[in-house]
Formats: sequence, C-alpha cells, structure tokens
Amino acid sequence: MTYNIARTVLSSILAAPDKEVVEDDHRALSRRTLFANVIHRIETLTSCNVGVEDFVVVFCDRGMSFWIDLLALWVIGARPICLESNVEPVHGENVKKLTDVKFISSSPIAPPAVFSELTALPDIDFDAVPELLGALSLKSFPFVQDPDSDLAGLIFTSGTTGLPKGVPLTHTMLVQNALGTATRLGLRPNDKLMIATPFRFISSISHFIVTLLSGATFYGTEDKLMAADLIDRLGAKHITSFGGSPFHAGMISRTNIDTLPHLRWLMSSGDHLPVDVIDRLHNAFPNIKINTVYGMAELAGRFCCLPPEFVKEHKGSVGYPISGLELVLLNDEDEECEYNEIGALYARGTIAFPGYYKNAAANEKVMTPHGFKTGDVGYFDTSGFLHLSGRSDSVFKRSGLKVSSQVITDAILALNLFDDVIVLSREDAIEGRVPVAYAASQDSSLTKGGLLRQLRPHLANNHLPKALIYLPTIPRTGSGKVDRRKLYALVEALPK
Amino acid sequence: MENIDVTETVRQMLIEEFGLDEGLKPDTLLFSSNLLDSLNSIEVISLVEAKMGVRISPLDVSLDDFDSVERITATINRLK
Repeated sequence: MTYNIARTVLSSILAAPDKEVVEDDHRALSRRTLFANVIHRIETLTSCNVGVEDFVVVFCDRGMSFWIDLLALWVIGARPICLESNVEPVHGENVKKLTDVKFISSSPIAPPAVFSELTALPDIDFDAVPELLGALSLKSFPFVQDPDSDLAGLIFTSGTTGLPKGVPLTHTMLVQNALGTATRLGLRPNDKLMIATPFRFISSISHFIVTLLSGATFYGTEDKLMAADLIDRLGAKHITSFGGSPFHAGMISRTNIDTLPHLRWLMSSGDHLPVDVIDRLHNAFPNIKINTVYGMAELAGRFCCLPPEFVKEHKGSVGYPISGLELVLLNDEDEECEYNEIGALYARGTIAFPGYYKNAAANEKVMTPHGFKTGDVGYFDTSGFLHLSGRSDSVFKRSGLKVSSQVITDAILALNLFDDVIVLSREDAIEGRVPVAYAASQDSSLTKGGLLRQLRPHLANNHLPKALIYLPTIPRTGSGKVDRRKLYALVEALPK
Repeated sequence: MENIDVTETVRQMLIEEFGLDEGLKPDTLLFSSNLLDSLNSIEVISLVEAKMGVRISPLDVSLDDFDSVERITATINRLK
C-alpha cells in the first residue's frame, strides 16, 4: 500500500469547512481557506515547473507559508527539504551535493548566498487566493502516490557531532507515525494546540499533522517567548493543549489554572520531564492530562509515549512505543536487558528508519541487525515502562536541545589557550544539563566571558559552557581518557 | 545605586556571563538580534536577581523587558 501524507491530512478535515484549522501570528485559516491556499500554491508550483520527486528547500521562520508549502509539495509528490533561514553555508553546500536541489521557497526571506543559484519560488499572497465554494473535496488535489518512491522530504539532524545528517521522511513513516501518535494522545476536535518550536523540527511537523488528524486546531509561533510571553500567548489564544519541551513545561508549571483556565492537556518531548515539574503541573492544574513523549527525527516523529493515566504512577518514564514501533534494550554483551538494567536503546518495526540519506559512514554506525541504534541509553522498570538515562556518547540535552561536549572540547582546544581541557555536562536545575569546561593552564587570567567571546564565532549559543573551572591538571588514564573520579575529586578540593 | 551604575553592572554581567562583546552598547538588542536566545532568558533573570537584589517572577516580565541593557535597567528600577 502506498500513502500520501497530504491525502491523509486533508481527508481528515473535509467536514465542517468553516472551522478554524491553522493559525500563526498573522492569520487564522479555516479548513476551507486552507484548502484554497493549498490548491492555489499547487498552481504556483506547477507553473514554476516543480514536479514529482523534485527537491525544494523550504525555509521555516515564515509562519503559515511553511505549512502551505509542505502540504502543496506533498500533494504533487515533490520533496520539501526543511531548513531554518540562517542555515550555515557548509550545511547548505552539503544539502545541494546530496539532493541536486533546484528550487527554494524562502520568500519573503531572501535566499542566502549558498542557495543563490536555485530558482526562488514566489511568496504566498494570502489575499490573492480565490475563494473556494461548496463542499470540500479531495478531487481538488492531483495527489501523486508513486509506488517506486515513498520519499516525502528531508529534515536534518542538529549536527551536534559534525555536519547535520539528512533524515529521509517517507509518506509511509509520516502517516503511520501520525496515526499511532494520534490514537495515543487523545486530542479532541474542540482542542486548540499550540507549539513554540521551530517549524522545521520533526516535533513541530508531527504536532501539525497529528492535530489536524485529530480534527483539532493548530496554532504555531516561531517568536522567541519568555515565560510571561508564553503564558500570555496561551491565555490570549485560548489554548487547550500545549506541545513543547520540558523547559516550556517548567514555565507553564509556574502559573495555574486561574490564569490559564482553558489548558487541559500538555505534551512534553525532547527530554526527560523532571518529576518536580510534573508535581508542580498537577498542583497548578489538577485535571491536566500530561503526556511525556520520547521521539526522534529518524522515526518520523514519536517513538514512545506515557499516557496521562500513568504519569503519577510512573513519573519520569517515557512510557512504551506507539503502534508500529518496537524498542529493544541491549547490554554490553548484546543481550536483552533485564528489568532495571541499563542498556543501549534500539528501534525497529514497521515504521523502521531507512538510514541517513546518502550517508554510508553514518549508517554503518547506527543501522544494526537489532534495529536502529538510537544513541540513547535507558532501562525498563518492572512494569515494562521505559526510563531514559542519557546518551551513550558525549551528547546530552540542554533545555531539550542536543549538545555535544566533544564539539565544545574540540572548539576550545582549537583556540590553543590551555595546556589541557575537557568539557563535561553537569545537572542544572533550570536547563536539565549544562556544559562545564575544565581547563589546566599556567595562566588562569582568562575569564569565562573571555573564553565565551572567543567561542561565540564557532559555537551555537546552547554549546557555550555555563562555567569555566581551572584545575591544576586534567587527570587522565593510561589510554588518555579523562579519569572523571579524580577530576571531580580535584573540583571538590578547590577553594569555595 | 545610581542608574549609571546599574547600567554598567548589567552590561558587565552580560559581557562576563555570556561572552558578549566588550563594547556592548546599552541599546544593543539582545534577544531580538539573536545575541542571546530565549533559553538564556531564565539565566539572565536569575543573574539580575542575584546581582541586583531584586525579586523577579518570570511571569512578571516579558522578553521586551530584557531585550537590551537599558531595558533591563529600567525593569530593575521598576521592580525596586
């Protein structure tokens, strides 16, 4: 059976044509006007000779236009490459090399130099879209379902350990993951779900699809929001359901039901949801449904979900896999773990990850006979619920975003400032985990600010160390690995 | 503390804690210009509380109140 994700989404919103379905910070579209905009966009795409199997760079940071582009491209069997507008030139070059892309939809944002030779598609003029009369019908759309090519587009990993890797999204994976997730999450048609994460993230795309499949209304913002802004927005938009990171959940837990009387449902993904945040949320919103979710781009959305009815009993767990996915935990001997035994986490099933796009070196590391090696480690509790313990490599999550301590260490070493340096993560009450740089040097006059100033041109904001700690030496084992026990003993011995 | 001292204390704090340029101007936009991201916002609030002795509920301030040194100074003065 072949799928088209746009057919699945659009077929779920045929009824009640005047119901609001998608909103951004500039406009709200009813189902009817969404259909009209997608039809109009398809006409534009075809007039620009965009067709089946064509790759098209699609920038987020453009609000509603991003979602219209996705649906229109999917309908005609083209393949969106979802990128943020401040894409690094080296990343852009790699995208071109991998895909032979010829089109870009970035307007009103000017295409960056790295994509200057691509054909720029015109901006979506929402005021110029002809009105769509009568009942909504799928016959308005020239769906392409190519049995030989299931590829629905590409998204890219965060690139914490090098160049971002292309993750192929297939129509089958998107449809099956969305259906499995929608069944589990229990959004209702009268819900209005808000996200405040970049639209190019698989989490945002999954929320968009699942919300529409559930018959609910989707509101997405790409504005930067502090806690007060987020709370204001949730209240002003009468949001019933919020999907975000544990960082967002922490913000919401600091208000209460008197401020946000409509909020009844919350989904946290991206990282472990701390127990104290769960407790605060339950105190502040006694009847709130909390869904803690574990997902990843490689699986086209969600992997595991802990339904609300289990949250109080299994705080800290991410539950069990959605339909179509199976998880396996293996110990160092490649044997399946017992309950409470920590092991490496593999994913397999009918929504299996096909491998990174044209990246044999990366695939060799993660595509195994046991399934896709996620890089995460965890354990099953005695009820069979999964608990995440961290990453098996140097990657950790800071405020829900992946950070590589190895990348930071390499960047500091390249500055040639210290005799030796190592970056490790430590727990942080606000951000989950944060990077700390430990440096050995004869000269300890360089301050943290001075170090960060030199790192800023090379590292993303979330990779900047939270602290710089000088030590007499970085203790290492015979093989050169950092001896963490001795290092922490040195830290303890430092004058307070 | 005089207003000029508050401004300079906030400016130095941002330079040292976040590695911002030493020539940071009081009206340079911090979040809108992507020098800082929203994940830094809670840390900025915590630092202002610790260094300036004011109590700030994250729910009482918006990004706009913290988007430059001079706006942070004004927010501190408002909350004192």
